[in-house]
Amino acid sequence: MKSTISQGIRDQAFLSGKPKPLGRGKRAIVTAIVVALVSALALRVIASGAINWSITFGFFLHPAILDGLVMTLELTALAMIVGVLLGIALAVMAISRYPAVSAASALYVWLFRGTPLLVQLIFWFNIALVFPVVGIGPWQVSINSLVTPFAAALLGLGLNEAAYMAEIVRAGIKSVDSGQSEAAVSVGLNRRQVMNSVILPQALKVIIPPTANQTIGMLKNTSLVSVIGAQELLTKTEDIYARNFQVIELLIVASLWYLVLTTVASAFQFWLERRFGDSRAIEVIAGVQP
Amino acid sequence: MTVPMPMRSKETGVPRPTLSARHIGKAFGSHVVLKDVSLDVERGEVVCIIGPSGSGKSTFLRCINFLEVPDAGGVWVDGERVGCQEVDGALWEVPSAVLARQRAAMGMVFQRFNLFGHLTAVDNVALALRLVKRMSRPAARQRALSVLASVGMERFAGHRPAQLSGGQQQRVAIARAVAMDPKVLLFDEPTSALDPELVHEVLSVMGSLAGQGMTMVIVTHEIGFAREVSNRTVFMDGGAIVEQGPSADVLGQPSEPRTRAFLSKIK
Repeated sequence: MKSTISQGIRDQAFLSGKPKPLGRGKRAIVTAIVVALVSALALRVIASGAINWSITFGFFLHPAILDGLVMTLELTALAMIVGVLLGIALAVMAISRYPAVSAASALYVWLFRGTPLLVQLIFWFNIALVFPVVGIGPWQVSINSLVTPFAAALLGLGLNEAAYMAEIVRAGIKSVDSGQSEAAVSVGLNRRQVMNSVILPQALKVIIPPTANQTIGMLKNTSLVSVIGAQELLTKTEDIYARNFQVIELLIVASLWYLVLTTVASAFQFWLERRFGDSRAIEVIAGVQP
Repeated sequence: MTVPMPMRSKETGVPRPTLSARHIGKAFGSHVVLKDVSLDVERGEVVCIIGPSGSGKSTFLRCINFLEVPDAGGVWVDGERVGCQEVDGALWEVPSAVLARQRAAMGMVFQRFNLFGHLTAVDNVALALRLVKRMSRPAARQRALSVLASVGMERFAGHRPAQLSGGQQQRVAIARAVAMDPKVLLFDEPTSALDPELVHEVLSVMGSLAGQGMTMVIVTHEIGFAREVSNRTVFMDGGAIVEQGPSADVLGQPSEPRTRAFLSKIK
């Protein structure tokens, strides 16, 4: 029996080649529905008449808006620098031999990740209520003069970011094989040298992609500091619509700029991640050429 | 616990061993890995440690340079106690800087090479020369290149570990250890992770080191290498030394039945 079946298959003429995928027709229908829905919605918004687009475009390059944009970029960069540096310190503390040190790191992360960023920002802005003055001996400074909205914004964003960066850096450090530190101590490197010259440079491969994500998040989170009047993009936008009442038009201006920033940042992130095929890039970025 | 010092008296002029491990004991939790293992290695001597997996030979090697802290016993290199010091009749850890210096005097070659993945071959060798020996960048590089040349790897100085074969990586790892001018080289199954055709190049580098008078302790499964190159072979089983002696004797006419059984299994 078996032999006759296989004989039959062998004798039959057959089509050869790659089979066409099923569901092509369905795909076209789904595409048509989605395109129709999205463009109907977009047309409805654009053509509603409720939005004065000339105002939106008129304010797009307004000097106040551009000032706010620069401030947003400054805050993002500075807060990320604070976050990364403090995050590395917290991550190294987390793996300390001394239980008190690792507990302090855990407490920090618990506190700053466990409370809303908005609450933290308002807290830092009002810190003078707790400590009216700081100083040593005769040199006393009023906190109110020190903690400007900008300083409070930087403090709030940076300290909050550090808690998240600590976890990212810790994961990066843990990703490095234990054989690396064994080899490093076996040639006589001390703990600090093992961390700085062997572990951290290799942890960067794991640390950098999520850090790019955090930076994109930070670009948007800076808008929260509008509640304490730091002069960034959203604050400037609010200032303008408080005077001319073109609320939606101005919010669209801000949104378009946020989209520009996050799109550029995402493109940079994409480039960054692709470069990681070549580990040379890690050293260029980290400046840890031996 | 007091341990007799391994020093041979200076008065008699008999040289003390370069490496002396005395009464080493180690347990992980309730699992006893080493029971009172002692080994003296003279200057220029090449000692192979063989034995079934789980016999404690790798742990013993790691106890020598304190990658594992032994629970009992002591290790001396050129008469200096490793990792520990006696203060007021109690045994204390040495400061980490002292342990780092002591480890720098013992080269270690790992089964999995453990080359620094982010550094080129020459930088792998030069890193500790710069950071530990405080050599200048050009001097460290020059020394690294010459040691790489001695293991036949100078052509690959600019390669990263990922671009090298296992045998090439292990030769760089040996160069990294040798460059520090160690008093003794410790090898932890240096060829076990290699494809069979790559074993020879690593063994021949080790053989030439032995020929240059390097003091070496080698945990290995390469019986042929042990017979040809090593002065002494130690057979370990169950966390203890079962038999040791001149390699030709231990490998040729083992006196212990356990040694015989082990050798017949791996031949």
